[in-house]
Amino acid sequence: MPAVKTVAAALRRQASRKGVIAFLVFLLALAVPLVSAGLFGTASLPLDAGRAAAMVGELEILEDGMALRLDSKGAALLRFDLNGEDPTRLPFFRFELAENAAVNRLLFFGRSVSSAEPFTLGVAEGTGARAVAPYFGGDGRWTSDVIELFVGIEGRPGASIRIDRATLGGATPASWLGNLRWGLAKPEQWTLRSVNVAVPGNLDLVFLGPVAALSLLVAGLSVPVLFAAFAARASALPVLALIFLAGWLVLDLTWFRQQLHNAHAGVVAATMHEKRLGLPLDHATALSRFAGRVDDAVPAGASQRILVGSADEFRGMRAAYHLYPRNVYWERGRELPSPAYLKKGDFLLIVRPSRHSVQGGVLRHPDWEQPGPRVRAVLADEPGTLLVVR
Amino acid sequence: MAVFTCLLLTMPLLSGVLFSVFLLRQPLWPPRPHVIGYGLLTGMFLASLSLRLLDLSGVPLTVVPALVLNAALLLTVVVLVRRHQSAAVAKEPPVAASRAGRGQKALALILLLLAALHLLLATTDALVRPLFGWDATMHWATKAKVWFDQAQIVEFVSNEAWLERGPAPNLFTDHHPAYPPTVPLLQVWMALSVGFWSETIVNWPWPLFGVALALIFYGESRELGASALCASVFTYLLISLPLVTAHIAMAGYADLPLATCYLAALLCTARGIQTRDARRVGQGLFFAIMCTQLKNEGFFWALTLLPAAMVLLMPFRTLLVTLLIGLGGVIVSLLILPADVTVAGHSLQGLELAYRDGAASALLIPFQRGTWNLLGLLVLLVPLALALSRGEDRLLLAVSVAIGSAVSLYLILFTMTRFAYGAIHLSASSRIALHLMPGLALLCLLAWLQICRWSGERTRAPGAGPGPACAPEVSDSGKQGPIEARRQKG
Repeated sequence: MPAVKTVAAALRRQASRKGVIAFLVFLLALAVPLVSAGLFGTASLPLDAGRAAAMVGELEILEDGMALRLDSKGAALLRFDLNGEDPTRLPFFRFELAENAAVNRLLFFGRSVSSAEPFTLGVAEGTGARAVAPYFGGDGRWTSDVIELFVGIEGRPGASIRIDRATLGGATPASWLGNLRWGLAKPEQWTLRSVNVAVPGNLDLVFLGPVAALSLLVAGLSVPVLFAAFAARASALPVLALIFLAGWLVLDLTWFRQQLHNAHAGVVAATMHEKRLGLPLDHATALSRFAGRVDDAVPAGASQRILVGSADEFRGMRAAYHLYPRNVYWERGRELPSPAYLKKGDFLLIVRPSRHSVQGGVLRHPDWEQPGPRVRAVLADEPGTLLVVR
Repeated sequence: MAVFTCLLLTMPLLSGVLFSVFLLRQPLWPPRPHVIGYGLLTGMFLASLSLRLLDLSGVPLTVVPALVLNAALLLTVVVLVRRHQSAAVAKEPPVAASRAGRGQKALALILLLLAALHLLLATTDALVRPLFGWDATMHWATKAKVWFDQAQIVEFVSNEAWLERGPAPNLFTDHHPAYPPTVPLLQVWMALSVGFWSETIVNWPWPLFGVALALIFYGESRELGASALCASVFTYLLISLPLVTAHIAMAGYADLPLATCYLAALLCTARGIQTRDARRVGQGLFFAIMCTQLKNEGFFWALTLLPAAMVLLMPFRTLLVTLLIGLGGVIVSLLILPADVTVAGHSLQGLELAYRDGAASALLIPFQRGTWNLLGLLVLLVPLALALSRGEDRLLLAVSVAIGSAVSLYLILFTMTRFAYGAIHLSASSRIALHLMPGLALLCLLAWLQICRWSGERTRAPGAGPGPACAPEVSDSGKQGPIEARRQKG
């Protein structure tokens, strides 16, 4: 590519000086708003024994950290006192756990002088990393009025977790990179949201996301290239294209990792028999097996109606799906239809959780103005109950 | 059974490819990538249409009638291709000759391999993972399961109608009973081919849509005059967009099929009009109609082809006047039509027009999170290219108008209607944006080619250094790509 060579040569010669100056000016222009926002600073605030307390769970202060025991429901809530500090200068949180296998999710809340109730700062799902490093300054709630930080921990009931470090810090290259690295996280299994927001990670709590960081880098590197190309009267396009492509490839690597993780998980997770028949591998497996039993219990016939109701939309929908090609009814946003529509001989599948109950052989629902039809239980198991209208 | 499976799977695809060869006046060998891409797409649609035809005729949806119909179709297409083959091929201008160095060839190959790897990983995922997505199991595969089981396209009605009409053998319901039937029919086609319902085998069409998308994009990029490297780069950029491969891996949604179909409709219509090729325009119309048969939004995307066609057909002043009259007509229609009139599943009343706070900023989140990688940066090329071309590059202008209209509709949908919920809660906005992304990638490619042409002219000035290696390639006839070759011939 002659144009690439020409521009590279120009970068090395006189033109490169102007280019480097322009690049530095570009960086300076980026830094000004950060400095003016007071984000730069190496100050840090250790959230140690003097500031920490457990609202839920048991906290033990150790010489070099803290030990936290989750309660019987697998929850703990830590409160950190920020009184006397300006949180806006300390938007980066670092929470290091010695052993975090028992932790599924971390929830961050703040409370300000003016608000009685805590407000949500963010949620870190599937915390596989040992160090959790969220940035709280993203949505404007992390103001100088904040006086308390809460960390909710969800995990294995009764598990003991050792916390090596809990610190709030200012913006330094290390905190930016630590926050970005944590935000990118490790690959995750597909979720129901993946068809709309495909990229995994805790990017809501990241200061400078990978796209923004790479966009700035691409734009920044383009400045000296443009200067060099202008000086050499050569086309800058090939070099700009290469810079852009390199940025794209860097982001694409994380996507490859995600795809590889999921393809591998799909391949190794099932036996050949399961793959051929396409038995569900997801968390609805128990539901699909129960639906299979319901299918066996309901008499055949295309006019035989099965009405599915659940307070959990996903479970209700998925149970109904597994029952097709039977003549199935499931409605989004409500459980079973009003009693007037329930006919004798209809089968009713109540999927847990549900607000329906059977009292004295009569089906009821708190929203129904009148009692429902008389029903008989046909099948009952952990996922739900199959009833038939008498 | 294995023979039936192979025949039923391959015959519609083969018909599609041969039909595409006929329409594009291409030689059978060596096959051009976009011809195969259009062929796969056409073949899948033919498979779904043949099932609809069987059902309309009262014939059950079973293997033997489907085989007979598809065999007849294949035979017809074979006869058509044999009759028209020799005369048609000679008219096609030669593909641009490659002047790439070894480094460029290697880079192009690496990028194509990366795109292929993305497709391979997604395909693996689709073929080992049962139907998974919410909508896939809420209203797409529900119909497919019933139609396959009943061997006919039985009626699906709303929840209320189902309750009111009481028990009936051929009356079913799901969450979106009125959605177009193509996607469930593709799943029925798969199930019919293997003889049983499989939660993974019914996913096969989605990898095929991915492959068709890549082939159409690469092949048409070359036809538009892009070098092999340039075409490879843009094909890789498109296929590596996370949501493209995510929709193959988590098959079962109509969004990727619609995205591929809209790109095909846009390319065929625009290039058909530009080259005065009625067959290609017809092919574009077919894909535009199929857009409406995939998802309700397809109707609105198909409408965006109208202004694009006008850009290519009309002189600038007439175009401006017509567009203004058209816009006025749309506004007047919106004002005078009753609010409960439903068009493609939507009524004004149902849309609840009003700006929703937070929706506009929520639309940026997928871009910030990398759902579209760095495509947001690439789009900046478009205004630059439009300014440089000053309206002379009519194809660039036409595609800009089509995509611009579609993006405007998209923005209205997700900021001014009740669907803003889907943007604010990140549950639908990116899926719908996916419909337009291949078109947007095409627009970026056209913009890049325009900028390269401008840069080439600038750097060829006396005393200037070497021009860009990425500039549009020169064909054997010494002119730029085939379109330019045709234009100059004309």
